[in-house]
Amino acid sequence: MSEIGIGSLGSILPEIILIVGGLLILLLDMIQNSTTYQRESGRGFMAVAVLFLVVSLVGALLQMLSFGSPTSQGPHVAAYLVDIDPFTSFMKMTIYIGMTLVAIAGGSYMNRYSPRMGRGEFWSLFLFTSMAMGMVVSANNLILLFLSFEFLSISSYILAGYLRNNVRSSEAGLKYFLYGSVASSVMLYGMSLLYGVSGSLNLTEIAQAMAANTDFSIVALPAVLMLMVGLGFKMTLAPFFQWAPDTYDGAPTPVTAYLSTASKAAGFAVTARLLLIGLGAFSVEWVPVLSGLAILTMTVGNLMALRQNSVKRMLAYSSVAQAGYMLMGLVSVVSASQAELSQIDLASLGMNGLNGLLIYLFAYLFTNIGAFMVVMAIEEDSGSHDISAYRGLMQRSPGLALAMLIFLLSLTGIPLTGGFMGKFYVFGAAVQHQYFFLAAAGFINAGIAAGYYLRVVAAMLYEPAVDANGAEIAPKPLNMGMALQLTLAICVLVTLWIGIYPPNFIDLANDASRHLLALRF
Amino acid sequence: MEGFLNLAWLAPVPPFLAFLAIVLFTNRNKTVSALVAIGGAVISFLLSWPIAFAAFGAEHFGAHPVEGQLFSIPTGNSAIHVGYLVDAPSALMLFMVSFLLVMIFVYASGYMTFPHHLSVADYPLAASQGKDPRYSRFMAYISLFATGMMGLVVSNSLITFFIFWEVMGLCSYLLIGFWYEKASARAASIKAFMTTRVGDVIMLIGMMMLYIYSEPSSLMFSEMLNVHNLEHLAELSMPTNWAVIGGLPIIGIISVLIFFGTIGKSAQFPLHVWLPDAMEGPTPVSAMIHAATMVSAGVFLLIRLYPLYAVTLEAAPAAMQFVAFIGGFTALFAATIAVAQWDIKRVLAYSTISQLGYMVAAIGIGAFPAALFHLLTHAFFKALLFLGSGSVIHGVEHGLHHVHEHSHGHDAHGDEHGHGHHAPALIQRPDGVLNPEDAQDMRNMGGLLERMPRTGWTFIIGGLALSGFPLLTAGFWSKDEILSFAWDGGNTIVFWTLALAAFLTAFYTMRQIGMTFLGAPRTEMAEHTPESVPTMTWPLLLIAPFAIFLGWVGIPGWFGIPNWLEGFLEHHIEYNQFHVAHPHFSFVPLSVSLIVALGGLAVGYMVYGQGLREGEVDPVRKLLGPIWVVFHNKYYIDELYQYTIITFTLLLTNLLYLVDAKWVIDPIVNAVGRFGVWLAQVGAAFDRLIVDGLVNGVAAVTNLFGGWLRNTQDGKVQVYLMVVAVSMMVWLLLRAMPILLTLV
Repeated sequence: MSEIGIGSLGSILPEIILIVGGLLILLLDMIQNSTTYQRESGRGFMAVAVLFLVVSLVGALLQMLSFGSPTSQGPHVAAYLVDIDPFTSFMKMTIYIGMTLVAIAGGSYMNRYSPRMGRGEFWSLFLFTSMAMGMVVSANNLILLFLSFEFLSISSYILAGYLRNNVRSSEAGLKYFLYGSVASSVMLYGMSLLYGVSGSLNLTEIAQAMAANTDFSIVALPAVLMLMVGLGFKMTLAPFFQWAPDTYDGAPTPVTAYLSTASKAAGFAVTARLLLIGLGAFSVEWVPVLSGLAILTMTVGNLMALRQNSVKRMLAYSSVAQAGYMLMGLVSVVSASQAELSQIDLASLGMNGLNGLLIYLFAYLFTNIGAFMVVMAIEEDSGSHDISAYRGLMQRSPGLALAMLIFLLSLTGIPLTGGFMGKFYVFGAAVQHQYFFLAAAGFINAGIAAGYYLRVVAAMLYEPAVDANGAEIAPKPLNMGMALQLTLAICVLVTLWIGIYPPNFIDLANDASRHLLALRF
Repeated sequence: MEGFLNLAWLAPVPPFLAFLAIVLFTNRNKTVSALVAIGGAVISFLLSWPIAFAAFGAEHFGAHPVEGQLFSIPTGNSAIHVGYLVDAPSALMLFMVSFLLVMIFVYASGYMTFPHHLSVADYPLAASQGKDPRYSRFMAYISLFATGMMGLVVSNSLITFFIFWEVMGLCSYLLIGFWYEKASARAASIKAFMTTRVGDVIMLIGMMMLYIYSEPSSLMFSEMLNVHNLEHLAELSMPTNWAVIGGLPIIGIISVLIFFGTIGKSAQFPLHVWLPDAMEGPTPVSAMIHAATMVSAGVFLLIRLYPLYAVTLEAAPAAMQFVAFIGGFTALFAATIAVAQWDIKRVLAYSTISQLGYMVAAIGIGAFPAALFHLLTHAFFKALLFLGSGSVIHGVEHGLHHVHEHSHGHDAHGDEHGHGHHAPALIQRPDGVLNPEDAQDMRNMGGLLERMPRTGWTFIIGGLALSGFPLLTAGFWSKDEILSFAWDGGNTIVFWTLALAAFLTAFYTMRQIGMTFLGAPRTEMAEHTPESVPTMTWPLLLIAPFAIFLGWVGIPGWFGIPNWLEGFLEHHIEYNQFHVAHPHFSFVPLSVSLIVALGGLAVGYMVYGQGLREGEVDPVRKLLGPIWVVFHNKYYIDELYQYTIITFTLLLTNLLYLVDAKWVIDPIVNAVGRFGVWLAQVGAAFDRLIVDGLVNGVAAVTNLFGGWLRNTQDGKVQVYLMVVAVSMMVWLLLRAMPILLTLV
């Protein structure tokens, strides 16, 4: 363990950079605000935000590479509260990539729709949110964990309701806030229970205390349940997901894009760390809870997505359902049969569940951000995210239609896309660890999901373009900004890359997952 | 120079590259294609002659043939070895084949003008170029053909030999049917292919038996043809008790079966029928197939496998008597047909069959060097004759063209090529139907020596060589050697048969020369025949010397000059450990060959020396009467096959068709099909009503749930939080329930 001091803060340099960036933007905003806001476009703020995000992304990458493979070092610990290990680095890399992509692509959208005053605020908050996510995945202490969790939530509330002139955006922000504050308070109660029985806020110490005294199991379940309310809210698990469709639908699309990917990934990382390290000894308690949540989440998400006409809302429900699949990965870390548990070295397994979750998260990030970017492009063009706006897209913009096709196929889990690799590893882990009912539910749900994803494909590829009244019109070409095209290209390429040649990503995810699994118990 | 022989495997490569280049790249440009093809042949020639002469010059070359492996194709426990072999016979063949191929290629580049059976309107571009519309394709085909022959000559195993053999079979099919607009050409190509196929299949059976019974199992010439293996084969006898072959040694069966390949390829009776019809192809093809390459390949097979036949001669004389009989019979049989043909190329075709019969008969009586010698000389003078006849036909066609231009050129149609569209009146004559515009019918010619002197004189040289004009020409020496062997070996019947055939050969050759070149022109078109272009006449002039001087390498020793060929082959014979008799000098065969050659020529000159007068019936027709008609109609062999084998096959086909389509198979299949359809309908109903119903039901229920669940999302955040609270409570209670129950 390292001492409290300036030197140990080097481990959280990426986050410090983000804070500096956010403050810088606030400062710049204040300088410009009074005289030039009529002319300024906000692009400058976006550029600064992207710059700082890229720098911290590079920092996170360097951190990850510094561990080498196989992992030789223990975690870097900063100020007792933060653990930087391969798992953390992988999650931070995922999150920063997502935030960078959203920032690049969402710039023009935000600049068009946001109020003229204080455009810098958005980007400043955007960087703070990124920082909060970076902290929440690396915290090993309940207090820091809760604080950064709240920081993330509160800045997200503001971002979701950022379009002050837009009623739906304001409504989204408000609902998110109300739901989030309740969920956070319940989670805090769960945390206090844990502290109460273990007498420590450090996750490792909690784990040791729990393992030492099995009587604590009577507290474990209520604590898990309460924690899961707050975490489930972040991960949009049923039945704590109901804010999500309304918020996703109303919030500015770039915000939706990161809420449904990076923020969710942060939620999963926290859950994995809390449950596997802190409550690893009581997996008997939380595995049924989590598997029930997983099945409920994917079923409800898929069933509700089935009847949506708004593509944005459909994607919102679909992201709920995807969370269900991901949770399967977390459940599958623990073998269904206890007898096996002692015999098998989990870290040596090809499919240990956690690496499935990581691969899934990574692939899902690119796919879902790409899908939301397509939604954004359509929205900027036609002002609508109804499925009828997607008709005849193949004639209007073949590139956009093909990109959307690839994203939807990846979400469905068709081979040669990243989504398939994620599903393959998650389902594979479920089968390997004998959660057959879970795998079966996953397969059935994947079938249902194909129904609504392919509806959009059919509209894009086979149906003629229509105007607002439903009358057929000649397809008119669709224009996209350079930044959006670049982001889409990156998303398409990475989605296909993971699907076609995944070894690099699988190695990264394996290293990250093995580290966390080596820590448990 | 010895090391140079190792390049022999390269000989087939240039023509093959030329074939690929023409097919893939240069086919749009006819001139370039021709140059590529000729270039391929010339490079092959420039490789082959040094190899051949290096072999000729090497000391005791026959005793140390050059053999090498290129690569092998693994096939389970064994492997197919692909390599090359240059020994005495293949060196001689390389010498002959490569030179003739170059001559034929050059000749073909001039010969393939726009054919008269095509309409100018259909091929305006080709007509304006004055070349065949498929000129480039022709060059590609003959290049592939050359590949086949060169590859066959340098092969070192029967497998690769057979592969190249079949390459030539394919090319002959493509080339005979080259002018496929003519129904006769189409039919001829199929006939050639099918007929040779019969021989090839039987040969393949022989090859398989050879492979199976050989010790060790191999088709490499060096492993298969050694004395131990051949004696082993001679000791085995057929493991059956069938009447004919039961007691025979295996080697006899194998020899006869493989000999059928020769029968097919070298057009021996009874599979000779394809060769005359093959004259439908362009004349360079005729020269190539019937002189230099394909038919020679049949005899070359026997020469290549002669060690096998030499052992057969002792172990199973009956098998070799069969070979000799087929050869001798074919020689005489084809010669009689040739006497009564009018088509200039057909006469040569039957003459070829007859001469090949000579070679086969020579093998049959064990006259291995004589057969090879005659193969070489014959290739040269027969190529000369074919190319000469092509030049004649070409010239007469030009004459015909000229006549038409003058009679029709100024009339209202202005259609210069009108002759292609109206059929001339056929003339019924006692000596066969005459088409007065047929450029190949010798009755339409006469006196062409003045019009086309180069063609004429070279043709006469070739003709004299074919007839075996004594002492001077190549044909005399090679034929004389076969007769000497026959006489010396006591094969009297073969001797007299061949002697009679030789007489007829001289006779019909003189008849052909007389009808074509001597006397006065019998038609207007013959009067206007021009000499052919230099690319056609130069090959004639270059081949002609060989028709004379090549024979001198094999002049028998008793003339005082050492017999070079015999000396060259002696080591080969010793090396392969078989025995060939040295015929002793005898006046009988010498005088007989002198008498038949000179006699045949003299009788022919007496009858046809001044040609025929216009409209005069062939005097031999009058002399022989109905026998001539039988000759003219080729012993009705085609008709015989038509009414026996082909009719039977067609009847069988029809019967099988009825069994298949009407009576048995199809009704069963249809019944099964109908049952299947019925079953499918039942299945479809099940699928539609129950399976689809289930699936659609599930979908509908799912949809219903979706719609219902959707209503829970009513946008009121109070309700959402309520859901959270209720689900929390339920869970906690469920967890607490057992504890509470224990309390109660």
